[in-house]
Order: sequence, then structure tokens, then C-alpha cells
Amino acid sequence: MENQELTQETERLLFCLLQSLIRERISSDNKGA
Amino acid sequence: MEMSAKPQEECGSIRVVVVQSRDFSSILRTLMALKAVKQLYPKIEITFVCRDRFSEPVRKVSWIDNVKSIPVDQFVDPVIKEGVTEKKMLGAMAIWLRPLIENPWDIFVDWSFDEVGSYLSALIPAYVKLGFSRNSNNGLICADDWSQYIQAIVQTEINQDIHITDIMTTQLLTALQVNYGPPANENQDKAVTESEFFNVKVEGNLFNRLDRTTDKKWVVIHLGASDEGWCWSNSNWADLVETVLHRHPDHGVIVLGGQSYENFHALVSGTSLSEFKASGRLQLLIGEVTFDEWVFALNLGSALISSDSAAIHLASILGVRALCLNATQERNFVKGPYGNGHVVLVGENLSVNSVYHTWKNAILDWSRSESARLIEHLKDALTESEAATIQIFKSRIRPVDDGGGVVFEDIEKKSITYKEWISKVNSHIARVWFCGWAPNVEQELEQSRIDFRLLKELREIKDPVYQVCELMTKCVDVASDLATLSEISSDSQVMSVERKDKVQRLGGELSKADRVLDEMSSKFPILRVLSQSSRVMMHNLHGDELLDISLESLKAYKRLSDGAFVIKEWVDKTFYIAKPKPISKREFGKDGGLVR
Repeated sequence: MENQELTQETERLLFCLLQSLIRERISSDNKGA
Repeated sequence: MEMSAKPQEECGSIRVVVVQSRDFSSILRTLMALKAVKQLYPKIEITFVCRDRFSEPVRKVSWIDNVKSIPVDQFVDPVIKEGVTEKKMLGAMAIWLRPLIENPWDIFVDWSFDEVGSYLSALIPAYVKLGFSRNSNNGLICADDWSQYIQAIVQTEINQDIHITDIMTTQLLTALQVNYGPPANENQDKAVTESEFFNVKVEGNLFNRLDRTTDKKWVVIHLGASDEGWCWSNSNWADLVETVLHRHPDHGVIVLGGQSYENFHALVSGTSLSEFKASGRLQLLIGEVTFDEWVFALNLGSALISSDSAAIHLASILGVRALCLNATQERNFVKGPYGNGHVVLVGENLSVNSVYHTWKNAILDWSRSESARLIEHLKDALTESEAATIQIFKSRIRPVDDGGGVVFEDIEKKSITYKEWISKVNSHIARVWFCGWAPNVEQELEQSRIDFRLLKELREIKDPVYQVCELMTKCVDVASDLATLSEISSDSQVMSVERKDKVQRLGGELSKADRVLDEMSSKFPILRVLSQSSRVMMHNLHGDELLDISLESLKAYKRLSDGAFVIKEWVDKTFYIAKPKPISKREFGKDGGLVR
């Protein structure tokens, strides 16, 4: 897929998924601090 | 990426992808639910998606066909630590995703019930979807009825007592039954738990240390916190270990725990525990064991004592009896140890004495002492204040005819509290809604457990419950009118002004009823099951046309109405069961005394 164009929908959902994972990490880092 | 169900005749194996993106406890609960399903539908081929740090144990389950781990650090670290833009990471994520989206799955299951699971659900194509997902506006949606229940009830901590493992099992079994027919009967009575659930291999130092002493009975203690973050102090654990070793020369104790519990070692050195350690009767495996060793140690144990939720679920899976310590009882009903014969000891300030005697009487000597004897033993062994502050529950898998699933029974059969009563009613509603069947109220409530405090609460809610039944009946009528009107209007291109006004008026009536229900449920917690479910059901209405939405809304109000009448039935039947029953003449002897 790296050479293929991501569909707009897939790109949007992957972006949201990544943001979710980032939010979780920040929240767990804050809890640990 | 939702599709219609694949016809049965096209299927060889049933390809199922299961996402569990939460913690290790959730993974263990998921595995237990999947094992039950796999026994009934051996044709399912399971791909398990979880975070990379939990993937190794899942790979040790022989009937999981494929494990796809989410490399969270690989995706997140470049953004957080190196300032790489999110957009640049999407290519790597797309490569990771590719094998999951190449061919549509027969069934996609999100058992994380969280954001990560919902986005994966939206990304991965499947004929049938269960769990949370996302709509085209990015809104969180529930792909099926049980997921609505999870969102509306379980995640808002409204009291209910159906175990999460039972919810998951029922959810997937229902989908399989609807799409692929009934299960293979010959596997219905097989146990789900087994010591060889994971293919583990232990050799070397630990194996030699423990295997040399297999003539001993081992008690395993796992230091750690419950799901709510509650834990017992290390000094309490040390005292408990000492008590067990002193009073039971035929027993050894294995203490397990993560690295954060390494200070337990300090409590051992310089005390009598160090002698037990030197003799091999006390084995400290804190912060040093692999997953395989953890399984090996638990399998050696005759029982586990812990408040650590992952340890408790692992013991459940391996068929090792667990004594689970916790400060409160509610979550145990939902996430407690699964299986027969586990014990949950609840109390805010559990003493070493209470835990020791509960282990001794409820686990070690259980075969010799039934509930009544156990209570007597505990009364002798505990101080009055200790006995007054604890509650002991025993787990039991109910026969399907009694409602099925795991239940936690109060061994003292203390009077049922209003909270517990609400819990039972809410679970009954779920069974009526999603299973189409629920056991009789009489089967769930014993007369001896109903006391004046419960009846006082029920007297206060009786009128509001009756009012809500009327309100919901009216809503069903209004929603039905709205559906009829929408059906008529769908035939013509343009809706007349008169019809438009009527649609608006009916819609307004339903909104007003929703507000009334909200207000009433803020005063009476028993009604929260309806107001919360209403909110989630209305959010999940789908359809482009007014007619589709009206029909879905009618279905939702019918369901709410059924729920209201279940509450009414419970109120009425609780009063009926509590009522002293006249003794029939036949029960008196000739001398007028009772015939026993």
C-alpha cells in the first residue's frame, strides 16, 4: 500500500486512530508523572 | 465498510477478526469468551489483534490462528519524541493495516469497546460487525445491540450483574447463530478452563526450584491492584504468608508480583519469613518471572490469593481457584474471576485474620464445610467487627435454564440491598431485550433475602415506575403513528404542510417524553437503565429516510417499554414474594403443630 494512494476515508480513519494512540500515551505519561 | 452477511453455503471456515486493544486482564477475558465460542463453533478461524506488548501470551494459545500486534510505540514515538508529523506516519500504519483489509472478514469483533477499537472497526471490512465503530461523520456508533448495552449501562457504571465474559460470549454466539446456524451440540458441556490453555515451556532455575518440591501444596499470592486501583498493603501480605506457613506445615507459598512490589523482599529479610525462604517453603518470584513461569507457578498452586485482576483472570483460565480481595463488590459481578468455586472477599479494611480464615474455610476446607458451616467457622475465628465489615461471595456457573452465566452468591445470604436489587433488574432487562428470554423473578429472589429496607425503597419507586410504564406505552403509540405517517409520506415526493405539522407535533411529543424520563431517572436510579439506553439507542438510529428512522425509533420505544414493564414486574413480584404466605391446613398435624 506504500506505493498506492490511500483513499481519503482510510487516511482520515488512520489519522484518527493515530491521534487516539497519542492521546492515550500522553494521558498515561501524565498519570505516571 | 459494512456489508451484508455472507450466505452460509459459501462458508468453509468462518473468518473472525477480534480486536482487544485494552490491558492484559481484558485480553484474558477475551480469550476465555473466545474459547467458549470456539468449542461451539470449531469452524471459526480467529485472528487476534492486540497491542504488541501483550501479543506473546496470545501466540501461546494453540487455537488462535493468527496474532496481529499493534506496534504502538513504532507509531507514536516518532510523533511524540522526534516531532514527525502525524501525516507522515500514515504510510507506515497503512502498511501495517494492509493484511487486515485485503479480504473482507466474515465477522469483525471489537471487544475493546474503546476509541482504538472503534477506528479499527471502521477501517477493517467485514460482513458482520460487533462492538464500537465510527460513522461517516466520525461519530462513535454501536454496531450491535449488546454494544449499546455496554456503552449505555456497563461503561456508565449503572449497576448490573452480567459478567463481561458472558456478554462477549453471548454477543458473538448470537451473531454466529443468526448467520451460520446453531452450534455443534457435542461440545456444549466442555469446560472452558484448563491448565494447558497456553503452550508454555519452563526449564532451568525456576523449574528446578519448584519442581523439586511438588509434594507440597502451594498457595500462590500475587501482589497487585484490582481494576479500581485498590490493593492490600505489603505488610498485610507478609503477615498472611507467615500465618499460612506457620499453621500449615504441608503448604508452601509462592509470592509473585511486578517490579513495583520488589520492596516486599525487605519485609522478608531479618524476619521468620527468611527461614521459610531458606527452607524453600517460601518462593519469592517478584519482578523476575516470564509469562511462561507465571503460568507454571500458578498451575502448581492449589489456590491463588490476590487482588490483581490479571492474575485472577489467569487463574480462572487455568482452572486454579482464586480468592479475590477487593474493597467493593460491584465490579466483581462484571469483571470478577470467571468459573465455579472462586471466592470474592469484600471489605474496605480487610484484616489478615479475615483473609486467612476465608482462604482456610472457603477454599482449603470447602469440600468439608458447606455455607452454613463456613459461616459458623468464620463467626468463631473473626472478631465481631471483622465479621461485620466483610462480605464473601462464591462464584457459580448457572445452568442455562436458570439464566446461564457466572453469578456471585453471597454465602451468608444477607438481605439484598436496593443496589443489588437494581443490578438484578437491569440484568433481567438486558436478557429480555437481547436474549428474548429471562428466568422468572421468583428464581432470582428468595423471600428470606428481602427485608423492610428494600421494601421501603420499593414503596418509594412504585408510583414513578407505574408512571414510566404509562409514559413508555404512550411513546410506543406516538412512535407508531409517526412511522405510519412517514410510510404514507414516503409514497409522495412532497410532504403536505398538514402532514409536516403532524410529524413535527409527534416528534415534539417524543422529545418531551424523553425529557420527562431524564428528569425522573435523575431522582430514581432504577430508571437510569431506561434513560441511558434511550440516549444510546436514539444516537444509534440509522437510515437516510424519515421512514427508516421512524421505524427504528418505534423499535427503540418498544424496547424501552418492555424494560419499564420488567421493572414494574420486579416491583410487584418482590412485594408478592415478601408477603407472608398463609400455611395450608395440610401442613398442620392433629395436635395443631406444624408438620415438618
